[in-house]
Amino acid sequence: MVKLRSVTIQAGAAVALLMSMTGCSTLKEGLASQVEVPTLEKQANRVAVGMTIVRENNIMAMKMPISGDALWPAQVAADISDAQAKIIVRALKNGPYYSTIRYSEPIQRKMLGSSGGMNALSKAAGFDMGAIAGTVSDPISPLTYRAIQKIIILYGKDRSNWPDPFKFDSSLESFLDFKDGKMKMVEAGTTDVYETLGDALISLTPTNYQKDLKLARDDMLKAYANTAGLEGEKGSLQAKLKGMLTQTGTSKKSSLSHEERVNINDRLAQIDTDLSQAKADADEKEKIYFTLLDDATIALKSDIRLDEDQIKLAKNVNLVSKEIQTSATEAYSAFGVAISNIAGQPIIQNFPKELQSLAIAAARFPRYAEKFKIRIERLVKNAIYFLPNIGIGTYYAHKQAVLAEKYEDITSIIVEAAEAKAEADKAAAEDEKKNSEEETPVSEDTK
Amino acid sequence: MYRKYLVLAFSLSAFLITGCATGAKITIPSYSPPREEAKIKKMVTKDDEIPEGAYLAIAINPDVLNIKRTIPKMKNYLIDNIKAKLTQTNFIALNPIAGENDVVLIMSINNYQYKSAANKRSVELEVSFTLSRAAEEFLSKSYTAVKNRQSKDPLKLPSESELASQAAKDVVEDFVSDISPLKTFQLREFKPLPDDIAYAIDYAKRRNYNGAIRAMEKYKGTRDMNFYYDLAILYEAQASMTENLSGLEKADEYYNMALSRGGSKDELVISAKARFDNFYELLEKTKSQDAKNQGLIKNRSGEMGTSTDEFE
Repeated sequence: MVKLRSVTIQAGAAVALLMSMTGCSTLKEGLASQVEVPTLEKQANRVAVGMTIVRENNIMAMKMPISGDALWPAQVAADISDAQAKIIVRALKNGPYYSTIRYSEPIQRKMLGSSGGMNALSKAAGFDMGAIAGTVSDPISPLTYRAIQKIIILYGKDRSNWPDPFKFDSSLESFLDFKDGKMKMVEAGTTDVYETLGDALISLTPTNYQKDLKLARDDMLKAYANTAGLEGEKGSLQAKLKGMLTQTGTSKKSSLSHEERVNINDRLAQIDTDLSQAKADADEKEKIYFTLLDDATIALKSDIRLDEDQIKLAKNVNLVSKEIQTSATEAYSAFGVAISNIAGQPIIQNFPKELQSLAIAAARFPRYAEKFKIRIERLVKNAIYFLPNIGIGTYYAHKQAVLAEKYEDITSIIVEAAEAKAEADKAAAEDEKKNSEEETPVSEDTK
Repeated sequence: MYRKYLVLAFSLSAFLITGCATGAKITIPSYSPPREEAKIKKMVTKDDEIPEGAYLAIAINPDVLNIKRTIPKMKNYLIDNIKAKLTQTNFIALNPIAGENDVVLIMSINNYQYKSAANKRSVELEVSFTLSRAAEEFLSKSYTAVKNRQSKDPLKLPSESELASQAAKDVVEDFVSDISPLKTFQLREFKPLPDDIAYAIDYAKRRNYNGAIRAMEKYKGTRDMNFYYDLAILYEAQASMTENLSGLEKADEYYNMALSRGGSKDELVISAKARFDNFYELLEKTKSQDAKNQGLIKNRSGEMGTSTDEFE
């Protein structure tokens, strides 16, 4: 009993710590994974959501124009509204996965069982809690809500402009971009619009740092892209070599010829060499850019220009920088939960059974046969990019968070100065008003 | 055992939620140093007829070269902005009469493009500024400003002249910040004080620096690093508002006392002192140059009566 209490308290402490570190959506995602049927599809979807978050971070940092007038920085930092939640549910409920999950879930739970956490709870309770969890849990995961919320904000409410977050890009060069989608126009009627967050940030630094910062940033981004491309190729080749997944669930190892395996291994060895060089190069370029940013930060402390447009822009860049850091943590969490579920449960071994369960569901519910077919096709394709996406996603999420932290530091100087000045202006005006009221002599008429 | 976990977790949670505690902050007026100071020094003019010494002044040639590349109002935008910026500190005086030995500013429009689409407007402006005395050129540099606006509602978009005016302001600011100190702000963070004197910081946050200084000077409690550091900030804030050098001397004295009481190992104190030193030196230099420049203004005003500009 004491042991159980100790474990519960420790878990509670860990939960409190996790919640404080990563935010509520991340925590909910971890808990949600403990009551679900352990399928590869769920992990692939989780990785897709993680990649969506990383891509959205990339959009916020590199693609989305920003201005002092822009509303999207405050919107992405806000909680999901009821209206947004309704749009998200409406948008997803007819998709192949969410429209059929309630039919496949009971079959899969019977064939594949429940997660480790759910099994432990069922054992303690004396009955199958998984069956109950399956009926009450929201099929849309907390991180999916967060990821789609950003799509609504960045791409608008019209779904025809949205990218498909569950469609992985097969091009290794453009892992950070959605294949489709049309971004919303950014409002910039009274303040300047900047092509990217980085351009806006650089415009806020002292003038004599701006040229060097631009050059250093471009060099760093090229080096990041080079590294990510190699990471992607490596992951893709590893997946091929392991024959991780095929449509029939059989290992593809046997289908690779000896020569093919040798070629892949040779290429992997070369990639490892190139990758260590590329990483060293990216780290060096990053160091140069960050050193310049640090120098600019010091200079900015003595050279804060508090004009209204700059303050508005700094506040928006600050909001986005904080949000990128939060989102990067959410992406780590999505990747981490997926990897730990795969490592801790027989998901890979059960993959043939998982595909079989989907085929059974398709046969049992012929009305949805087409949607099940799309699910199976997408699952097989996404599974191939499972590892590359985790590798690239983690690499970029880390880089995004580190860069965003620097941007936050710089803009915080302007934001804090503006707030301190506004507070002092307000207080001084109040005092002046009080003083003038006290000094005004009462006229004879009012006596 | 589990209590330890709980305490640790909640302490860490509280730390992560609240972050590191920071002290109260105020903004104080400051100057940014000119980036081309070495070149500007060469522009100092010695004139025996002017008693206050060597002056630093420019005469603006109002004939902006290639003005036809842009809108006619651009000339006024550029000249008005230069006057407004230079008179912020008067480190460089505006010379109303350009003599043979005087420095003249010549401006030339290198590029001007205005683009207008349904929901977008943009202006790109490049201006070169040349400072020279006869054949001797001190500085010749081009500055670019790009103004991009967009809105779903075209009525919210500014006119061409508004954008051109803002672009002119940007290029002039870049140019003037190369040759002259400009007014900016610095942020100062107070150290915590004992409860019975903490109200001095509240006074400072309401810009009542005199009241805060009086309270601190009367304080009978322990005078440690925090006390002297905060007092230095108060003197600095008061003096920077009025650009009073004697107030800055006091601030310097108290910063040094804070340094000698442990401040030399405190990042906040060192950072503030370093920035204070730069400002103090710059303000002294600017005030001194301004005083010398006044000799020129008096002399030239006497020469030309009521007229203000030889070129006009």
